[in-house]
Amino acid sequence: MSESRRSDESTDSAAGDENGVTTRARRWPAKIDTDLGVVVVGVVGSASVLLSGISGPVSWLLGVPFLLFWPGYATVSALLPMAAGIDTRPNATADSTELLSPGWPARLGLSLLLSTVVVAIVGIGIDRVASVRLTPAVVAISVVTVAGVLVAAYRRRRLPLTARAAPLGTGRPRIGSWISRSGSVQSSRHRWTLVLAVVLLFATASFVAATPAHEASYTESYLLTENDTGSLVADGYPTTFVVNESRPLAVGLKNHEHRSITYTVDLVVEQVGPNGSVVGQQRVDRFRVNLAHGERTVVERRVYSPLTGDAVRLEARVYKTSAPPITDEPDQTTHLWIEVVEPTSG
Amino acid sequence: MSHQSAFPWLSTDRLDTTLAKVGILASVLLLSLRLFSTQVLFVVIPVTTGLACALYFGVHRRQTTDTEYPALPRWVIDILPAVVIVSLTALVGTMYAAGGRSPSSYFLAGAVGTAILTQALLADESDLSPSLIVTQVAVSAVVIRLSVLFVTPGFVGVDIWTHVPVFIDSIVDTGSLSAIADSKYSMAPFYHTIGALAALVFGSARLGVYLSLGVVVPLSVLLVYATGVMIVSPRWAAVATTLFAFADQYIRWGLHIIPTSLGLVFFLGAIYCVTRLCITNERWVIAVLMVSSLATVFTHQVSTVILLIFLGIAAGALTLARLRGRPALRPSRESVAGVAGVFVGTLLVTGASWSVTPWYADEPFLYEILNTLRATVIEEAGFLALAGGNGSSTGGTESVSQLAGVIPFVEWLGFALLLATGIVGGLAMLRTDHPMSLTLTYLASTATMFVAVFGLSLFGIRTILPGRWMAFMYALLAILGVVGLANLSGTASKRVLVAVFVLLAVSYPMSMVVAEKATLDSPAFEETYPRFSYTGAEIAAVETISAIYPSDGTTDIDSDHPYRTLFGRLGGYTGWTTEVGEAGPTRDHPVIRRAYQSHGPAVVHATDPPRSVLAPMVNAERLCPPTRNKVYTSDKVSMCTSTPVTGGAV
Repeated sequence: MSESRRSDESTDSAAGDENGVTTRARRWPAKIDTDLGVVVVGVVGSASVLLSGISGPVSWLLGVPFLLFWPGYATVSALLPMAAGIDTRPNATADSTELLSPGWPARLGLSLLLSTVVVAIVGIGIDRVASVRLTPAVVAISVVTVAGVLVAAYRRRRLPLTARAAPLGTGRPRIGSWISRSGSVQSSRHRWTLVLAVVLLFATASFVAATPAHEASYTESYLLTENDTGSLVADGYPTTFVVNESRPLAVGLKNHEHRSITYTVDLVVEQVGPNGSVVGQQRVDRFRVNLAHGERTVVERRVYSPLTGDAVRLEARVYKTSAPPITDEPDQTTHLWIEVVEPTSG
Repeated sequence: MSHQSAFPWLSTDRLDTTLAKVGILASVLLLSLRLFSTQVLFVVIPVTTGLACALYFGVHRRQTTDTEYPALPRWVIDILPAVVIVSLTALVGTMYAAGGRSPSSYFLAGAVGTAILTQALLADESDLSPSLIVTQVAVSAVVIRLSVLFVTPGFVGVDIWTHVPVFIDSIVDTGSLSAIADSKYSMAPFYHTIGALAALVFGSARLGVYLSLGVVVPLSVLLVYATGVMIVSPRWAAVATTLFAFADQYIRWGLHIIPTSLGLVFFLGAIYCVTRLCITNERWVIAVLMVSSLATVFTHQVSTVILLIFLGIAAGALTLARLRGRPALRPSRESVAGVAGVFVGTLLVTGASWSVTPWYADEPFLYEILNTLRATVIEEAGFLALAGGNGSSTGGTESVSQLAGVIPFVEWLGFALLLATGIVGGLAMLRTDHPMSLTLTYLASTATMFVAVFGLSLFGIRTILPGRWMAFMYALLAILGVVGLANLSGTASKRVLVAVFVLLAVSYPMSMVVAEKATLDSPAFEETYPRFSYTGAEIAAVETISAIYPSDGTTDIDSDHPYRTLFGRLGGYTGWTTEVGEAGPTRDHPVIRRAYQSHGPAVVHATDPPRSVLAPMVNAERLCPPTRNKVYTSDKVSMCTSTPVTGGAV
């Protein structure tokens, strides 16, 4: 077994005592453990912000630890009141297996894991007694987390000072000294390079998160007809027209072009020969519609065919302009095959 | 003293070297299977096994001196963390600018892995900072996954389209878990509950899942470090953490975030607890193990099976070690009872849960899954029944590229390196003074999972979804692997160590980050693997078509695979893979054609003879003939329907 079994990441020195915990006993502190205080402030603050309806990056920054870290950290702190990397055996003997409390990587990992469990159980609980809504969820998670903090604080106070888990110490936060302790890059120049790199990453990630990614531009167009219940659907299209008798048809458009567009739609009928060639065509309708980005419309028209035949193509030609030159190819087309017959006499 | 034997070179006194010899022999025999199948794994696994066993056997007698450990100058090690962070910044920037992944983003992701592994492997002991390395691993894991998720429209993968837009959105809309009451997740609601609460907090189901489970999954790599550091020194634990963080299968479940992903997180917790119980006997560990195990049961069925196997083996190993192990390293009675109790408890809860879990048929999940398994074994299993299994070079379809035969070897290089280090580690564990319970648990669990993933697939048994097991197996392999590397560092010469470390640091991350499963959103080998993500136009098409051509739940629609799955899950259709004959589609179903079918390796079915073909090999006018109505179009997707007017021809 390697040296790692002796310590995950020892943070406190340890020595034997008569209480069964192999650390030095000191008098209990009067101040609250800073890490637990941070959890309470974090949870209450996050809950207030989330319940106030603030959304966007602020809710992301507060919501992530609220769901993923604070509940689990409170639970782990309650489970493991002792400091990292100390021997907690009640009756240690020389030949027994070494038993050191988990280091901070383990506690952080377990905090994430137990946060998911706590959040899931809270969700199932509120589903039973209330409903899965924001307010009961936030309140329940906050209550459970604060309860965990209270249990952790109680259990820590039953241990001597040096045996307690207190990564940020007690009383006023000393983040600066904590960071300098954890710094591992040896030279000052390299440390600053690393800090600058981290700032750069954070700035880039923030910019990317705040700026919508570029999306492709496109337009959706479709043909609809009325079904038995009066809804416009893309099914059950009319297949037989009587020449020059109009029938209802709807054209749907949705603009995803990231700009406002006036579309021109031509409805054209084409007589198609046996080999697929167009032997005759006529525009039977034209309309324009202006749509902002993200806007959708369905335009109901009546169409007719002056041309007859077994295979007439009724085409909707969409131009992304208000005045398409006559020679322009359409930007999009949709079509229906129809049979156009002469009116029956009598 | 060796026993008298007909094979004196097979000594039972030194199990590690004996197994190494057997491994070399077996690898030669296994290579012959290549004659019966084109599966690339029939080359990768035997060659890897043979080389790993030979390496272990070749150096096991040596004793390395302190000066033999290869180390880079301190200034190089000091500058690498900044290189990692700057590379991650460039990765985010390039992905944002390109609107997705590009060759430069694959290179940057691989370079990040190389820079981290270099620090872990090639730093002098005095320059080594495990905490800084693990921090870089955690940051990299989150940035690499979330940057992909946020630049990809919709979701990455197949199943997530049911879990998030259907299940989680329904829970949020109704305010009740009754939205999943009729699914097999009625008794496994953890994933969807977390997703629903996160959706409420962050304002949308997509954002909720990404900012909750999408963050937890990559950060759970901390548990690998916590586990590793109980077995090996912090250097090697940091290496294990990096190996796992950059493993393709682990990246996969960080992109395709479904209950399997959460099951993996709980499994990592279970590995940590079992490892700790092999060494210690703390009650809180038993409690956390119980919580992790039950959480798995209430999250995902396949993960539960994997966990039960792991717990069963661990319980057996601890019991055996308690009865037969060296006194100084025997597990405590509490540990044995704890792990066995958790195993039995989890088994009982699983049985009870599955017996009331609904599935597709009327019978409960437990009955149905046993029935399916029985039918598979009796009716489908057969030696080398491999079609469509793991490691197939082209997935059984006609390929558009001659390079397709080489690509799997590039992809599987990372796996081969992980397997090789794992084999060396397994052999080393047999010799070193790890507790017997720990050695047995790791070796037997890894071997069992290996058989489940590759061995049962060899016989065509894929009902247990072997692909889902790989990430779980990788966690154990990563830890075994660093036991092997730690062993090599104490026995191999400097030249061998430099070769192994450089190969691992450069090849492993580069291979893993371009592997198929790590690039579901945008395959690095885009002519070989289809992308399992969709453009905005493709997603909008499903939403619009499902609105104008509503499904009653059984309405059929045809498209390529995998696009048809999106119509099935998001649109509510019965999605079929388009079947095309010489004249066009053979069925009257509406056909969805997308521009991706012209160049991407999406799959359609061809008749005469019946086979799967890559869509670019089929003329566009055969898939959506002009003789059909074209009733929907965007610039990228169109829908054509059959019409009695033309009857398919003009």
